[in-house]
Amino acid sequence: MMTKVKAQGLVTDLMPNIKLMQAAGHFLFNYHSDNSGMSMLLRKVYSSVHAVLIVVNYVCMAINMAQYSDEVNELTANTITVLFFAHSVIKLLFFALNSKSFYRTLAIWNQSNSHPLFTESDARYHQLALTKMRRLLYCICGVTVLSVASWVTLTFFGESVRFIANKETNETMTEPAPRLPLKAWYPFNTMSGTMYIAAFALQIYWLLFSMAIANLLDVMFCSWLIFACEQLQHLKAIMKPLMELSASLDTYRPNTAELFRASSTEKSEKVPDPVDLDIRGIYSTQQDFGITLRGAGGKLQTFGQPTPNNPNGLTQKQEMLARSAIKYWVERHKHVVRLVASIGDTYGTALLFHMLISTITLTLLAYQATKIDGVNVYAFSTLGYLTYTLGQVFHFCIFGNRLIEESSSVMEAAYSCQWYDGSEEAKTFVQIVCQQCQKAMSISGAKFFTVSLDLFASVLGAVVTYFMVLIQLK
Amino acid sequence: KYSVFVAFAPHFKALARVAYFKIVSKDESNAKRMLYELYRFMMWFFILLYNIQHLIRVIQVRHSTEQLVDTLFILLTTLNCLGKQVAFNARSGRIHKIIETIQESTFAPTKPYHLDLLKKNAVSMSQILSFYQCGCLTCAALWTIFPFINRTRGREVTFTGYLPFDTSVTSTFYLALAYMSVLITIQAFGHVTMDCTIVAFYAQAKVQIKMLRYNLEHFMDADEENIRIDTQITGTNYEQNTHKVNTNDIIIMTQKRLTNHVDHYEKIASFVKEVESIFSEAMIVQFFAMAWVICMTVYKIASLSILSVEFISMAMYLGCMLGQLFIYCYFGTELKVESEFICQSVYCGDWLSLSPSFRRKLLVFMTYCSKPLALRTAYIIPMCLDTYIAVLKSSYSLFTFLNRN
Repeated sequence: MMTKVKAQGLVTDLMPNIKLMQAAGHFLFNYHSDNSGMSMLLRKVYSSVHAVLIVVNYVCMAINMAQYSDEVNELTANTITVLFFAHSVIKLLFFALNSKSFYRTLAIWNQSNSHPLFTESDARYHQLALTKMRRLLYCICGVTVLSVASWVTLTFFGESVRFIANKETNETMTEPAPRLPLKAWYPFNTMSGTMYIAAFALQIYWLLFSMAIANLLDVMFCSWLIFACEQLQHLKAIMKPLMELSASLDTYRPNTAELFRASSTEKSEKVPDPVDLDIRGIYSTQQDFGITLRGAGGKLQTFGQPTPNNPNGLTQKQEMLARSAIKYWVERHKHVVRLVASIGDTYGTALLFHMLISTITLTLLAYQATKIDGVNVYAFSTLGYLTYTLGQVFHFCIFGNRLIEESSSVMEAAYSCQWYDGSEEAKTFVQIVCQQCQKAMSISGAKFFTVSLDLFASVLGAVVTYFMVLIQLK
Repeated sequence: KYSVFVAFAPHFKALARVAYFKIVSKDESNAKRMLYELYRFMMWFFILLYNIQHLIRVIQVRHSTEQLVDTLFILLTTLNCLGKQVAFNARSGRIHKIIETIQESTFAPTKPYHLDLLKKNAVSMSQILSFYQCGCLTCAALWTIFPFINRTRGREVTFTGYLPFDTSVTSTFYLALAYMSVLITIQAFGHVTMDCTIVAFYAQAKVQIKMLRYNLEHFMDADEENIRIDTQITGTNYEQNTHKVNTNDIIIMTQKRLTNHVDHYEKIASFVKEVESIFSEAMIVQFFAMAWVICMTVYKIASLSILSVEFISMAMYLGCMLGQLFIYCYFGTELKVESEFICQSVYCGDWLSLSPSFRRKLLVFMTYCSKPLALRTAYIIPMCLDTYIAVLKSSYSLFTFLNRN
């Protein structure tokens, strides 16, 4: 299980993300350059220590919530905080239990097919994907650090009190509480002195690491989606030259040897075949291909000496080239389909838990928001929680939506090229691709919902409706 | 030879035990059959009596909301169960026919992967059945214990059914309690088993689609392997094909395979439609009963305090209702999602090696398969997890609304 995997494919692209996740304490033990027993043990100890600290502090917060559950406002505020950080604990556990599935998804793109005509386009879109993934990572890291900084700053404003319900008079009193970012029960007195500073430092560390744990996993998921979308963009971009290339293929001669292939032993990791013959050895320049990729179709025809088997006058090599280009396109598309299926299997359940907890949190936050009475610490903290929670949901909804749009727009790309000039083979290829792309590729949260902007809109709508109803009832 | 019916064996055995449905086997003595018919008649008689008793009581207490709600809880559940029982008995011929369809050769496994899938399905179906049976027996046991405890505490216990004699005397009380609890246990057990049987039909359709998808993804795979597996599973002698293949053989082979797959999908689709139509009225009854019960439970819970015994029993009852709806919605969604991927499986097979004329045949198949097998209740309510979430959301909104007021 702890095999040394050479960094390639998705792993190379996502290496900064992986390194950050390892630093934040996720149970990610692959993809290290040094795999000796000692360093592996050290890494496991590191992750376990982080896990223990995070869970212990979380339990302390839960104990505090149970302790002061008499007063409604205090209880609601504490519940929101506990639910807010439930994401981190769940994601940490989820990754630890499902790491094999994550490794499998990361390894899916280790070997991809290639074609000499399309390497330049492939590289360009790959670079685009890489830029977008890096930019997303920096953005989310910045947001995390900013959130922690503003949380800590907000701690120093306002009175640090907690609400207690006076049992005799049934009214709310305030009691002084330690001025810490999070309300938690500690076995030592944290009102002042060295213990106070220690608790404060622990909480800053805890805030940073738990937010990083949750956000980095989401960033990995969204990076996968960015990669899949850019691959689809690449496929759309090469559709036109592909159709021009195959416009002259008119006869079909079955390649008998290819028709029968023993089924591969492994079900999931079918290695896509490279191009049948080394075309690069046969053709050295663009002129040898006999086509201009930007011109109208049919340039492959050479009139004058039609070969007996080939009514359009294509040479053997030209026909093989056209057919191999279509094969490259279809194999690449199937590879993307496999990647998206694997992403859905890996991360679907985590998204389900996320949405469940976010729904409850947003309901409570809507209730809290009705009690905002001015520009004070309470308003800032409630709005901060609201924006952050909605932002997390928006984060994966927008990338899920982009995947759906990209995968269904492949059909438009197929239609917009000059398919009517194509050969029978090319036309049936376009037909089958259009039929397949009618069902958009989407990520579903364990079949309960589809990750798209509709989901975000329904969540936002529900929060606003609930808020309005509560305002009216007040 | 593995029979696909193995997945349904525990369900039909349990149904036969409570005389709800029995698979007619030819080799049974007349005396046994007469005895069983008598048993069935008695069961029907008592169940109908139970329902009529509750109906009478509903009319009796129609002016007192509390008692009306209490009786309606039981009556609606048993009516729901009765609806399904009527479907099973009135349409037993059609059910026998679909059992025969399941045992036909189209649905039989032909590869080791198929066998694997079918075995896993059989295991999970029997696990779900035992889980739900245990749950319902626990609930029935609690339902029996509560009046007993209340009686020993000295509180007055009123039965939810009309009884022509006075139940305050100890002997008649225990008699009535025994009668009521035995009948409700039998009905709950039968109800849960019928639900699991209907769900097992849909799960079988899903497994068949999975098998079809595997076949489509390996559409152009070598024939020798299939022959080997065929001989393993069916144990018949089969003349090995010579390794020399010519174009004509390939065309014949691919045509035969396509015919088989088209036939398989056609059978699966008609199977699903038939099961849906057999139980359509029972599902309508279930939907209305469930909607009403959820509203009443939420209304009642909103006025109770947390951690009282009544609250717990109400919450448990609501949990049972929601659990029952859950398996229908879950397996409906599974079937729909699986059938949406058939088109993708054809795409992931090796259609590139086929001629354009054969690709057009595949295309017709793909176009037909792009319409998913979506189950519906009463023609308008889809049986999927979206419906389930909508039900949860509405009951929660109702609860919050009533709580605030």
